Amino acid sequence: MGNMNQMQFQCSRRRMLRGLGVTMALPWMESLRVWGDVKSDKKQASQAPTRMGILFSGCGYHSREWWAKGQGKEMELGKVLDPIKEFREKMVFIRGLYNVEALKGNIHSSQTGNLLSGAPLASGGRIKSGTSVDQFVANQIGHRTKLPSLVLGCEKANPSVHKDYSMLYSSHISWSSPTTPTPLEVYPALAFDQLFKNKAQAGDESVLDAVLQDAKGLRRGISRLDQQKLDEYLNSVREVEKRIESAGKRGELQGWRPTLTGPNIPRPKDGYPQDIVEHMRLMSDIMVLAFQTDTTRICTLKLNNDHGTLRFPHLGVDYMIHHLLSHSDTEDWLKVNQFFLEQMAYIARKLDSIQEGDRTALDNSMIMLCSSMLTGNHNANQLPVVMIGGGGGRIKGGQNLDYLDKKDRQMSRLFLSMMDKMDVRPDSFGDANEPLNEV
Amino acid sequence: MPIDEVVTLALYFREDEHLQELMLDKKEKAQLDRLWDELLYVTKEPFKLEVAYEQIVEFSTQDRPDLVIAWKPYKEPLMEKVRAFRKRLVADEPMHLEKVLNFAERAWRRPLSESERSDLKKLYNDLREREISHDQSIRLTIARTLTSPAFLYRRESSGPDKDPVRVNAYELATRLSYFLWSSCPDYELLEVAKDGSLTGDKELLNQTTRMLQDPKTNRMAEQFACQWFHVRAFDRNDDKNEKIFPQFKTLRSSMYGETLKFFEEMFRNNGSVLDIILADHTFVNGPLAEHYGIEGISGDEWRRIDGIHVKGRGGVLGMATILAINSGASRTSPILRGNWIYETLLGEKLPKPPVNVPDLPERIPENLTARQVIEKHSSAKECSKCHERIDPYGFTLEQFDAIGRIRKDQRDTSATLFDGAQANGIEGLREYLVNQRSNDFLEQFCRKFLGYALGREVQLSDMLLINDMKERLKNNEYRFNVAVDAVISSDQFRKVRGRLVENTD
Repeated sequence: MGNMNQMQFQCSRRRMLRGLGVTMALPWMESLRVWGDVKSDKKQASQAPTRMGILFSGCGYHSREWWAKGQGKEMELGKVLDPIKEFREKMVFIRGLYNVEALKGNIHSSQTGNLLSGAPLASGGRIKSGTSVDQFVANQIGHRTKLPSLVLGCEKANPSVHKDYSMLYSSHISWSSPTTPTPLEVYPALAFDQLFKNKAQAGDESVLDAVLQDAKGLRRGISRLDQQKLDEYLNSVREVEKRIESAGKRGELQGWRPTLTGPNIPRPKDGYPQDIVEHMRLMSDIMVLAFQTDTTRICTLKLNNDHGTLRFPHLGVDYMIHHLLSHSDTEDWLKVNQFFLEQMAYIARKLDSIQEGDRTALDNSMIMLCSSMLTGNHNANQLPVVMIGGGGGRIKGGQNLDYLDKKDRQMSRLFLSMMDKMDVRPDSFGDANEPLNEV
Repeated sequence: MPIDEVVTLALYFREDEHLQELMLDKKEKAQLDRLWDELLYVTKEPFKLEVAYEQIVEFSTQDRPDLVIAWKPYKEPLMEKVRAFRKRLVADEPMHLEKVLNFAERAWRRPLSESERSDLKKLYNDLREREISHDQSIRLTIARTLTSPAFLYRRESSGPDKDPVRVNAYELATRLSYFLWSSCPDYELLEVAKDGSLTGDKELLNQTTRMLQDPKTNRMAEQFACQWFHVRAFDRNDDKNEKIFPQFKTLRSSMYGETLKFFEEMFRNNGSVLDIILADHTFVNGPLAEHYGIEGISGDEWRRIDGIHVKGRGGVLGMATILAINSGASRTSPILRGNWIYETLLGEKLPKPPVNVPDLPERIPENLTARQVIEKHSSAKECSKCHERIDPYGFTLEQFDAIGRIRKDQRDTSATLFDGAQANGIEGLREYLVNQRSNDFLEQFCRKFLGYALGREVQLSDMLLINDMKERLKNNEYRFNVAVDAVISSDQFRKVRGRLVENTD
């Protein structure tokens, strides 16, 4: 194992590109663009901005223990949700949303790659989804912060193919364009560097310039069919370019000052954490830190892949991987579910302890947790969704909403609601034209 | 070498006079010298020695200042070495850059144009001007080579209109080497591309024959056969309940090894493709032999064994990889195994199962067999339409457990197949497939093989070629090389479509 040849074959071109993209982009470039050149609009705020955090875990939850009854303080919750019980009054539990495109393809991968976009997915050798809600918002308002968005994960991407669908779909909830999954940071130290490292790696932009030269001459002399393929390449290069552009930049200062300007935790150790507890904790810390320092207002954290292979020795559940556990409704599966919800609780608790004016950072955020299926039997006809946080005082907590028997119950309606809190209001998104009125 | 109480420094010290004197001939000595020189070169040993010298002097004289004098004579010869080495490195720099350009030709699989050469050189020079070190500049130039679309994409120049045109010699070399080796062309292949002879039938066949015998053909076993059968990367398969099958994790790489060896041997030695089902041989090492209940084989070494039908093995149907991948985490699944035979091996298509089918239990209840549970599960009318086509195949393999062991207790392995034929056990299934379904199997093989060779989905317009390939296989004892020959002599393999062809999907 591990010789060069095998390594090579396990890497798709896309991965190769992304891999190089990451190494080229992560070391910060010295200010390629002068900051402060973007004009601010409205909300002359001494008020803190709204932050959007999306947590994902694959394979759904225990089939009998994901539920909510009643409202507000009186709300009763299934055992899976036990860890977030303390946030009942800042919580919105949502039942019955779905994504119609997810019902059309293969189980798992084709339910995940479009979870945050509602887009149709291509099968076979092609990769095509849609721009996900986090990246859509980042495109609109990302210029206001040093990083347009932060895309984190606690499980590496899987490059293989499952039943005619690329497993890239199972490994990426965030998509910068229909053909480009957003490069995902799974190394805590490198995620930390994205936030706080400001020094350039000499020479990187020369290489990028040369690669851009290639990209220019690319379209000549190839068939139309192949041109479509090359769009993938161009998108990947653009992705690197974007990252380089944002380097060395600072957010606009619009009156409001974040409560923290530098890191309050040490830089995590280099390398890939071997302990899943530590890994999730670090990534959660980094999300909170990014919000608190206003380095970005948009963050997705993929706790694991759909069809994922994490194991949980700290829970005594080491004999089966996450995906296999999801096919059972055992006590062990419940423990694993709760472990994921504990991450959400941890993030919410941390944000709630940060006072920003007369509200907490949690009141100024919305942390949404979802999966691509309700339970391990691939049921995507209703998705598990729960949200904590006040969305800048615009989301009423303590709600228990049920759309299962309603007509327009697209997941994308929720995205329109969330975007609204970020002051992004497109006419439509995915397969929805109207936000959810209640959220 | 100790630096201080806690830190040590690794240096290389050569001491092989006796070996040279007593054992090595002139050529071997020269080789040893060369290897030493390479080692010292890449580790930049003289620079390390300089540091080491300073440190050991400091260390050894901290309480004996009088020793400073004693160390002094060593300094100048050492510095002489360091200067010479530095000079050598600087002198070598243009050569390194030239090597990167050669590397780019390998990576891009064709000669560089003049402007490409000068662009790469310019990048390197620009980096040096920005005071980036030689090493780092070389690294970045290599990075630039590998992020280029010329490396990442197998770009071909298409015809000017809608008509297909022949690919040029370099493009053909690339098609051939990715087909057979999953890699870029080697020097020999690039040579015959350069002189143009590769585009002639004779040289193309020569090269194909040479390449098929190369060990790199094992990649076709991995990328073609194992992907077709859904067992690629089985050595990292994580899909078993280890409470029930604690041995699986240590066995999975041996299981994978068998499948890889089986196909590598078939591809390199022009085997019969019918052996995929019919083979009476396989490859085992000690752990796998034990798993299979085959006695008298130990150790990690792989060996071919013949006459294994009597042991209940032979062909893909008896392979642990196939049997395990089409099982659940804790139990067998005749449905998965049956579906694999129906869709993967025979190329039939089933509609998607209806939504909200209840899950089968993860563990089979004590008083039932997997077969009984599934017969009940599949008996509903809207389910049986499909299940009666697939489940019976799976029932014939029920003697194998979820990790491919032969069960000690006798299971009911008789089944009435969808077309009314009876089959019992792996032998019965094997016989049925070869006698009744060999045409379907061959067609599926040809489709998969052609699709793999071309790197695209097989289309309606390929059917003539597929039928031709099938007939040639039938008339030539199903020899693998016949299929390869049909591919490489086809227009599909030798031509590229015109650039004005519209997207059809």
